[in-house]
Amino acid sequence: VNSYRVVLRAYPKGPRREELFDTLTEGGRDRPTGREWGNLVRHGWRARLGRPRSRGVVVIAVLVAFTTGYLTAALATRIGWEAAPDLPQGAALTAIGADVLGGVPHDASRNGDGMFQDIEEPSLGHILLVGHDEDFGFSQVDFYGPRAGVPGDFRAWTAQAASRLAAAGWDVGRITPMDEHFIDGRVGDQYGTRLDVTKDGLAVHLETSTTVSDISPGNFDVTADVTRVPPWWLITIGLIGWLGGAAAGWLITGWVSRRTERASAAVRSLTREPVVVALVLATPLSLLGLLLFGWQLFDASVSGVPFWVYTMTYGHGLTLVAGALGLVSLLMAAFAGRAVPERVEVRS
Amino acid sequence: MAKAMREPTFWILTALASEARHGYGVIQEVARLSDGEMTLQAGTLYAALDRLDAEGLVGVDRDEVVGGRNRRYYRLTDDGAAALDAETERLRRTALTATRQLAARPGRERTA
Repeated sequence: VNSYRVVLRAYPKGPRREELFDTLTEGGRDRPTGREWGNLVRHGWRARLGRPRSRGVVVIAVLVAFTTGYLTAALATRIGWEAAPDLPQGAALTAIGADVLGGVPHDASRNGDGMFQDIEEPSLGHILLVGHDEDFGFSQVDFYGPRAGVPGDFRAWTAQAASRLAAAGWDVGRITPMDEHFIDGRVGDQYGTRLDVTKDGLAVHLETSTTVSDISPGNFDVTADVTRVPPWWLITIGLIGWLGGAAAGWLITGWVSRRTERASAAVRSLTREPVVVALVLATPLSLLGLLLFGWQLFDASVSGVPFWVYTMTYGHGLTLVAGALGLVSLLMAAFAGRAVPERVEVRS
Repeated sequence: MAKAMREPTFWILTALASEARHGYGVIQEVARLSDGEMTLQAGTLYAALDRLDAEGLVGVDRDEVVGGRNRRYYRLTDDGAAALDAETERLRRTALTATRQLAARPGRERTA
């Protein structure tokens, strides 16, 4: 019997839970089958949205849940990163420099004092109102080779670097040639290489190039950056945050929907339209976030930026407007809506 | 042309055609009428009842207290009866058409 009580919590509070409980147990059953569980959870969560005839409310709830899941995952991972090991320093950094650049003389400098780098070094207020600069990303350590470049063939040097890194225990990716691409579609000469390697929660992105100014003729430039790869537990936190935020978004949508279900047409419109516009603005950013979140699971070379980077850079204005519109819907529901009566009167 | 009714909806309206029933009564009656072919899940039943109530096809008939428990009975409305009638007619025509086509199938008379 308790199992039925537990699964019926999927339904909104009210006499429907009791009615269902009586229906389910009247035949002498005392625990739900797997099929019943699925059926009750599915219909219970749908019942939380009210408006039984509407499919639109389900679409809105799905999109709101997706977006609130994304934002919660972003917040959860942002907090979680605080517990992750910092970028290497001192002897550890020197050892990485030796692995990556071999005997090539180099300098190392950390880009960004805290968790992130933003060339404008904005205040919290500026971040909230205006967002981050477009080059915003996680802090990283940059290695620079000699200003005059490195003598020799960059292809052979990169191949040696890959062997050296593999021997030092790094997980070495494919060497990607960098070719000149012209506006008419022609592909020109190769001018450099790119190589991504990972080890112990760190990703190194190594580049060579012959097109950098200041290098001597016949030489090539070499640079590398070190970033942190999201550890497995941080990804788990992100997924849990996504699910929790999605559930909260669904419940909030249900609350708004049921409070305004019997309101006037004007109130319903002033609740619905702002959230529809908000979703049009916010959903693409959430989708981009999901893509980047998924991409970072399989490709450490894109770990230099948080998966929510576009929300806080190019899409910051859209996010602010979407948030304000969502707030309008919430306020409409809170002040102009009314609670659904627990039991509809029997009509004679 | 009216949209075809979903099968659970059809059976729920059918179960309520003769008398008002509470949730468990609807489930039992649907199983009986369909010779056990349709097993309604409680979640599906109440989602359908909510939708049908919003569409005006069923209504709440009465509340009764049985064994200390409150039972809510649902009844078919006039609009619900009309909708069930229209669906029954549609199904009858559909079945008749299929029957005629099968009868016209070459070799049918010999194998029948």
